Amino acid sequence: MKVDTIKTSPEAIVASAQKYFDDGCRLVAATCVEEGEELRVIYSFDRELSLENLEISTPREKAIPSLTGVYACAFLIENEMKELFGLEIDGLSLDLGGRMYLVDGAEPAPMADHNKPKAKEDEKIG
Amino acid sequence: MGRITAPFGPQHPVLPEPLHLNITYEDEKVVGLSPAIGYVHRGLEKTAEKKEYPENVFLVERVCGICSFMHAMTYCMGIEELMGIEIPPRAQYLRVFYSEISRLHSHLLWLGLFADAFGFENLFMQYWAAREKILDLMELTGGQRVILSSCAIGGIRRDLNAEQIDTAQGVLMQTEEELKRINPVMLNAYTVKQRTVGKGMLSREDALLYGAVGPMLRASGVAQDLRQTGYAAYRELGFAPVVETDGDSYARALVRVRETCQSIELARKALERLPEGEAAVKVKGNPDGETMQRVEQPRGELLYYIKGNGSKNLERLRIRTPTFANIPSLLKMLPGCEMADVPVIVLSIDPCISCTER
Amino acid sequence: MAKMISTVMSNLTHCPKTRLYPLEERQLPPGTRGQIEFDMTKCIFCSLCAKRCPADAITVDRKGKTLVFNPFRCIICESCLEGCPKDAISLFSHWRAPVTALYEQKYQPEPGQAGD
Repeated sequence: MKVDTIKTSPEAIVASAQKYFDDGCRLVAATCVEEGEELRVIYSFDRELSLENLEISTPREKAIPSLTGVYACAFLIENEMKELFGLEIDGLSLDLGGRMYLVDGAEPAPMADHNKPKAKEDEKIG
Repeated sequence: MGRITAPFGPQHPVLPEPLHLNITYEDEKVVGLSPAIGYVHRGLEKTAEKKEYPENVFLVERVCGICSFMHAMTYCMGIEELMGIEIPPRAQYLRVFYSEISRLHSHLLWLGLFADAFGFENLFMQYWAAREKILDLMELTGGQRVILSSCAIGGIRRDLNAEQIDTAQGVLMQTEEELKRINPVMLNAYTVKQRTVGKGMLSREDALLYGAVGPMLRASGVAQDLRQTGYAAYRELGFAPVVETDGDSYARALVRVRETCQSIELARKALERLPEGEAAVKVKGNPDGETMQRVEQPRGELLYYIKGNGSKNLERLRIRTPTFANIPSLLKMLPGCEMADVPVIVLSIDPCISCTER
Repeated sequence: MAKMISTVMSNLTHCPKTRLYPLEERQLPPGTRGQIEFDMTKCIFCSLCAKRCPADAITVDRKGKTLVFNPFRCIICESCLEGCPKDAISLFSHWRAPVTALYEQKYQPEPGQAGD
């Protein structure tokens, strides 16, 4: 089973989000999922109680544009992605500087080191 | 005029949880703020990847103490969808019952705290005394006062017997009477209106722009409640969202007051129409694929993204909690208000920081 | 306002809604998840409870036939009860008393005697 998404490119994401905004849709969430070397970001919009998703894939080093220009609420979501996955985001309206959850001296991007070999080890024991 | 930046929270008399805002004041007026959350981040999303999927039910229950049942329910609904499990109708109705008493106790908690935020301590105690009855009911039916642990993948772990249903009906009826006595004080008292009417305005457009959810959104005139989508047994029970149009703190209190009455009605209806039969089905196999589940929590919309890979461990669990979506609206509501109104406005979003930071 | 006065009057004439806790204990309803206990006469050290425990509160040494239970990690979720093939774990509806130091409970196969 897959979540229904519309694939788009990081360059086009702001324009697509603007279209949703003009339709009176609400930005629900952005979900970052690590898939191999790439990061997949799913933006979810709510249109009259049904969920519509936009999806982009990006290499981790490459910055993606921020949606804060369209949806003001995106700053919290994007700060979280930036901090937990090490995803660079261009044009954040309010940058919490990677100190939203993490403290000084914490390991950067804790969610990103998707430690798959370890998960398999756990399975063997279980 | 001199500007001063002072922290609001994380430890503040009106805050039940450690929300931290750095607020810039100009004399007594708020001119800017920056949220600095992060006091109770526990890395639950990461922990969930290391645990086996049935164990995660108990983990996600602990995302938030107050709406723990809803978290477990959303997670279970997601896993059930991935594994293609049909849960029995009795479990669907029991899920509605448990969610509604959770909502009831959460709203009563909030109404009490809200009264306390503007210094009406008597009202605070009255609401909490009413809430105590609901907590006792939760203990009787689920086994514990707050963390119910009654939801499991495949249904409900603890079925209710006839005696418990009778007691529950009695308690709900009693609470309804009690609330009829308390609610007019919250809604009509002169002092309450002075502190809440016109404070923390959020228009319909701003609510959408700042992504507000739940009672915040409904108080701003958007009739959106995920229970309308009819998950669990809401479709059979019939449901219409509570909407107010003023978009101030008073409207938000009014939405919640009306929702408590609605919750009692829904919980009682669910018990009356409770179908006979099993309350859970056996679960075999592992989840594979990805899904998104949304549920209406007391504070608003909750979103779970679950990705399994056919093994016992999940690949990714993402939790978007309602307070996470409501905090940005503070950026709109607070600037321009008086310093003395900050606690009331902050509380009117019903902040749940354990939820937000996970 | 008249409504509030009736509330005030009833509060004056009625006993308090709170209890003097250590002196007066509340009767918990049956089925309350208070604490769990192991019955060593039934336990076969299959370690299913340890595997099911989401809080890792139970460790079982299958060869050495010992079961160590950490009551302060336990979240009383009843997962072990559901998983136990011999019904060797039972639930009590009274809370564990507060302690000043953490401890672990060690169980060994002594027939008819629950170890502590």
